[in-house]
Amino acid sequence: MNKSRHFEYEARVKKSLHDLRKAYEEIKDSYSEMIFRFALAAEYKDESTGMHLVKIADYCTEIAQAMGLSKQDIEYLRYASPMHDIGKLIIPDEILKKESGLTPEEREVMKKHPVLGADIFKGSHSPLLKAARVISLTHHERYDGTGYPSGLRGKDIPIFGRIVALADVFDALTSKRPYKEAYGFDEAMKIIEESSGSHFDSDVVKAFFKVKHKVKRIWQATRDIEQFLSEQK
Amino acid sequence: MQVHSDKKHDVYICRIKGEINLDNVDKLAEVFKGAIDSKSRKVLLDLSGLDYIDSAGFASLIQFSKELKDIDGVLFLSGLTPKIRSLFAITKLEKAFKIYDTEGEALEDSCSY
Repeated sequence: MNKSRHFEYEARVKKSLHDLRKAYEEIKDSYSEMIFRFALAAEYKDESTGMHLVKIADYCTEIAQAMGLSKQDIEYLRYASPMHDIGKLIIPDEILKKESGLTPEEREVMKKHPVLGADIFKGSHSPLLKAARVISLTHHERYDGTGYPSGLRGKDIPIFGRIVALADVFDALTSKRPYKEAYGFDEAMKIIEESSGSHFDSDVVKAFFKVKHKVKRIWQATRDIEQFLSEQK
Repeated sequence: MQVHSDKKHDVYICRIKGEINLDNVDKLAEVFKGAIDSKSRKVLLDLSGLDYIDSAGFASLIQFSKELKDIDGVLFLSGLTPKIRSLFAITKLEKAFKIYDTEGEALEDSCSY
């Protein structure tokens, strides 16, 4: 092969690689977009705000970084964690939106949402959707084995589930609900600390406290956004 | 995150690439300060190269938008990819900003302000 043809060939290979990378990025972005919009559907049904999804993704990202998870796993967790409650799409409105306390039977129906959500992703070959399946299925498991749906214990609970469990509870504690006021930052951190080794994996709690300053900035940032949004109404 | 600043007519343009997140919002605040110091009252953020924005990033955009408003300025956003647009949609911030498909459209509309 002469020199000019070699350069021409090299340029064509480079362009093909560039196009391939671009196509891959576009597919990856479409997946992420689809996931955010899909997760939003579940939030709408639950009448909560989309901010919950962003907060979960942010808290999970910080914990995962502090725990030294791989860059790839951190990305999966960031994009798949907002899907944790996707199973609520299948829970009947009269239970999901019931303002007074649930009956024991209704509570049992509600507790099916992790399995229902996992079923949505069953059989997918996409690593991101596989992560979403694991997260949906295990985010209500508790480290001491008293969670649901499977009563998994300790490290038998996948790491993604253990991380989302803490992020989800922390956000629930610091958010206002029709039946309760929001806990303050320090109060919520104290509750998380007290649940270390029982509700939550102590390693996850340790990581959460390691990045406490960052968690506080996320908490503050989301409060600022919510304040801004309420002023816009 | 990479930021390339430019000026077209009376519009100060910042083209942002990469992620806006907790780890770099302070750097972004410096960029925004530069935009305000430039005396431009119209600022356009081109986000076509933006890969992700977290809650700290959104809070930073809101803060900047307020600061601009306080000095009778206007903030324009352009080039949001569908993924970034979906993040604006789920945070319900889509309606709080002036968002345009392209930098050109934003620049054209900026003339009416």
